[in-house]
Amino acid sequence: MAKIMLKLPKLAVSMQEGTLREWFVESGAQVTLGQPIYALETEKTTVEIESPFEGTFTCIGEVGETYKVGDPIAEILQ
Amino acid sequence: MTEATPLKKQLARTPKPDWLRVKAPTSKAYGETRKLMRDLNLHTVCEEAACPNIGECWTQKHATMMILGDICTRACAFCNIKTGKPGKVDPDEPAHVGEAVAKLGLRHVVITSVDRDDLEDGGASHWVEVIESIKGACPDTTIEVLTPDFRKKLGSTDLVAQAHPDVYNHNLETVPRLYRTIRPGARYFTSLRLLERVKEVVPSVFTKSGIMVGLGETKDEVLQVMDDMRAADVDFLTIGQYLQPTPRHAAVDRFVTPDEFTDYEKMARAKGFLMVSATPLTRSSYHADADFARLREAREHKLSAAS
Repeated sequence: MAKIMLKLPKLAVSMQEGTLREWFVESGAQVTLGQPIYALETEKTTVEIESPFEGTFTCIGEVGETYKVGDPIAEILQ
Repeated sequence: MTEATPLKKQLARTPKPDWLRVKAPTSKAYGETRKLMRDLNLHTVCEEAACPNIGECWTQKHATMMILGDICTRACAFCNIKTGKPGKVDPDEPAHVGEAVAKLGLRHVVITSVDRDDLEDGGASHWVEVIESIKGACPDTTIEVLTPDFRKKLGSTDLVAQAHPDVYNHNLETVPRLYRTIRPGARYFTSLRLLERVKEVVPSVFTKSGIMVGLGETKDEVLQVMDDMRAADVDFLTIGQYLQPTPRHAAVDRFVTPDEFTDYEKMARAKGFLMVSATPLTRSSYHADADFARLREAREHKLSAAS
């Protein structure tokens, strides 16, 4: 079993932070590759982030909070 | 368990309207496009401007290359490109752009650049080399240029137009009243005159221009800009929502609704533009490939109706 940390992605050269707007999956759910997992508000838009792996999902970040690029947002247990 | 570290709550943004939701750039083709740009030492306005459409466009390998470096001599309040003293022009860039267009397999390519007020010709001769390189490498690819205003660079616009791009785009960006705050280094009339001049020099070229809305302009001011563009014989109008790239840039005055964009499109078509793209996420080169085909059809239709 491998635990993979999902960090806040840098979606633009100038991006420093983003606000977690919505979870599309709950902790404990099974996610598949490419499944939308959360909505991230950046300076310009709201971006739907897809799961880069399949496995058991755990939410770490809180909706409404702003995080820096690289901060842990979620975990996937493979 | 790792703790997430929220920043101060007051930094949280106001939620964006639903119509500004996009998918993250994660596709394989996106990664390939990105790698090619890195390998050839090319810049793209897609990345530098933090374009919201990058995921969609790069998945189709539609990248808009930005020539003449990644540092601009202007400091427009809406734009995310770095301002400063640019470095030397890369003499290999024209060849690299041609190679990139061939590798991406583009039918239609959009090229833009930073402003180079520091160069005697504003970069026009380099523009010509890039256009010629693309024509040499990919003779069937149609070329759309999105140039600076070449302010105080006599003859530069003519030089680029005479290299015969298929579409010549220069954005007016906003209504004249907001130039002093939004586009302080530019002049409304200079930009409008450039568009008119391109048509005088090469009547067969399609001209294109765009504005951002949501910066505090009124509807009447937008309609006046449309009339001004038509007086300069501009064929293609783009209108998109202004989005603030960082907190240091001009604030968004308001989010214009999709219905208002539809109204702008109808009014622009009634004023005689051959092509109009007006949606919240419209950008200068968004869907430029498909829109160029429509533009050409629209002109043929107009000509056959007149004969």
